[in-house]
Amino acid sequence: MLLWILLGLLLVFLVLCAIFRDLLYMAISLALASIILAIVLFHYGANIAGVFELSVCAGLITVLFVSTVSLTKDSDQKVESRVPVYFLPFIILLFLGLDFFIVRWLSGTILPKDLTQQAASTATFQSVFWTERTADMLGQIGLILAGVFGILALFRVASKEKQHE
Amino acid sequence: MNSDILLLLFSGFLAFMLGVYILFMYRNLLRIIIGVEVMAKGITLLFLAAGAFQGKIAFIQSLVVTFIIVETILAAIMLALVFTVHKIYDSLDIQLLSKLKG
Amino acid sequence: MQQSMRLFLILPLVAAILMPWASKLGRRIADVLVAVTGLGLMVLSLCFIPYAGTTSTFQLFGAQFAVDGLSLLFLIVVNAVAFFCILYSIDYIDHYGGRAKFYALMLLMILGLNGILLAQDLFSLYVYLEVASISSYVLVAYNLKFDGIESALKYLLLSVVGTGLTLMGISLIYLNCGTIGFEALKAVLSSIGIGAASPVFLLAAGLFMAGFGLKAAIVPFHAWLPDAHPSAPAPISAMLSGVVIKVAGVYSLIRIFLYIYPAPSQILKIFLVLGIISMIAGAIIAYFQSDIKRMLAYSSISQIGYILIGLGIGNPLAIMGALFHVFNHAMFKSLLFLNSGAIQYRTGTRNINEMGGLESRMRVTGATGIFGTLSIAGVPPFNGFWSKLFIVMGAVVAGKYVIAFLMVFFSIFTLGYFLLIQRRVFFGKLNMKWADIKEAPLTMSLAMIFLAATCLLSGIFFSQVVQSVIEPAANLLMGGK
Repeated sequence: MLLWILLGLLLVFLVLCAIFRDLLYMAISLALASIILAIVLFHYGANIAGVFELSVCAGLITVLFVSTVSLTKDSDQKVESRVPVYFLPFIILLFLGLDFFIVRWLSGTILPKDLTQQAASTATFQSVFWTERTADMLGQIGLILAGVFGILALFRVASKEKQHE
Repeated sequence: MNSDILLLLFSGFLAFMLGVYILFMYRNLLRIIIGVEVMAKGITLLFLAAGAFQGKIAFIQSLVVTFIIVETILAAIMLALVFTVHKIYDSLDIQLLSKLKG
Repeated sequence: MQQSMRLFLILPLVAAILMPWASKLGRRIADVLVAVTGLGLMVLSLCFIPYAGTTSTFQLFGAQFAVDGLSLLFLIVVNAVAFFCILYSIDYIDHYGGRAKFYALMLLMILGLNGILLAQDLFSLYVYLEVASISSYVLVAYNLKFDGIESALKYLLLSVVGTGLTLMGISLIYLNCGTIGFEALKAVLSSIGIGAASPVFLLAAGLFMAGFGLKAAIVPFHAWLPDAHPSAPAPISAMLSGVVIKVAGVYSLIRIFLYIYPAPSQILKIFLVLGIISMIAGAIIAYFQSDIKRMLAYSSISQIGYILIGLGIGNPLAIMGALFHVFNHAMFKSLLFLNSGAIQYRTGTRNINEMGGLESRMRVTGATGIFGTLSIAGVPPFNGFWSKLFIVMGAVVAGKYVIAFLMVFFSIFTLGYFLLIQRRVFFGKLNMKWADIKEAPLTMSLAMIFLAATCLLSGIFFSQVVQSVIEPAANLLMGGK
């Protein structure tokens, strides 16, 4: 029952992201959705993923987003068209129907677990993350470097052009 | 398959579709980035459903952690690009993208 | 020996980390560092040719990686083209500024591409795909002009949807059989079969087709390519067109559908149909372009179509042709993009109508441009001829005469429009605006000469190339049958 409430709230906040006119409300609604997702992760025992979701998605991305909103706000006077919002109820109904069929189909066709001979593992997160998934770790280092150099490169050119003006 | 996992799958697919809708229907670039984030929430839910069904939460948890890092860096790069667009054009309207067509 | 394969990942990573300090020490030191790294990677990949027939595994920080014939072919393509592009950018990047960051991002892109080729499960493949993609988004926007940033955003937003679909496919596969490792999946799929036993695999196949098809710029998913490739700096256009769409798109498709999935006939049919559409649409749209890089971008779509047709026919000859075409297309398309970059570097325009008679002023660029044109059109001594011949012969053997005819026809069509463009750019009356332009700088010319030589030599010695690297890769794919 707890899961039903949590996922219901999560979907409500995600839909609110599509409805709000104000970008700040959108960001806050997304952050709340992230917090609920973190609780769902905790509920399933994925504690560390939950902490990451909470601190990085709900925290860091919201901060980045809000700062970009406030830095770009003053000149962005154009009013967003409301047409996508008016369509939203019908679209959500359509999605719900589609989703219902996909999930019903999936529930009938997924292989039973014993067929693939996968025993539930008792490995801890630490052992999986630091032994099985080290290939991803190296990728993460690459990603972080790409992000750092990418942002440096984008803002470097911006500042350089300013000097030219 | 128990109903909890079906519910996770259901909300995961719904969030993904909602994200794609926001991505393609809105014109403001910052809203489009929100759409990408909504999509990412959906994918996290799908991963969680897969891990819970297979009984391998530890494995799926490490995938989710990596995915969150990817998502964050992607968001940072997107925001930097949007910021630069705003600097040049003083607007966040995606319709400007159509200038490139032809 | 196998342990030195670690360097494919370590070298670019370490060089990228050192790059800011190297550029502090001096401009030339950064140049030397990046060039040495590129050369080292290329030589390293060539060193493994004798081992092409075997699968070698190695460990890095406890992670398992493996190289087989298929990965090795792509590793050679990536690291060779990357070295030439690095060489080219040493002089080219002057007018963009931000040298160290450019090199660092380029090295990270190479890291990502090598990682895709070495990864042993679907999720690692995705992570390295993102490393390569994130660096390429920034590199496409590198000129910080409006067109660059906008096409980078367009590329990014479409890619995000594509990778989202891919991740959905990965989660469905994990939900279905509890594993995402290549070998484990192959074992599961061969024991339970695809299709009737579990249609979820087919749904996942559709998602992968859309996701990686978007990366490979197959026609219904190609919208980002004609914007992203022209706006990027020339060496990045060459990397994107020559390598990134092949590794991120075509390699992933081959790895998933011809290696893990036992080449199901429905999927081969889809390859064939999409390949024919891409080949025809790309060639026809390319004909109407007046922007030289845009024309090359559309012709990339058309050439990817040839590769897909070869894979879709699915007999050994056609698959060999497709893999050989991957190699050849990487060489001649990056050559042509570097050429167009050299022209843009000197004249400042990409508009074909403004050019004319440049051959008398830019001899190296003109001569290598002719090499590239003859290769892409499939004229006999050059490499493009042999790979197209293999694919056409494969189609004839399979009894698909209409497809064989279409391929030959569009090959001639390609020759036609490329010759037309070469004539308008390099020959004819010299446009007086360009009376005093000079040849491209040294390293740019060197890179173009090397690539042109590769096009010619791999055409003349095609049987050696095919025997040493193409056949082991094709055998690996045909082994499952």
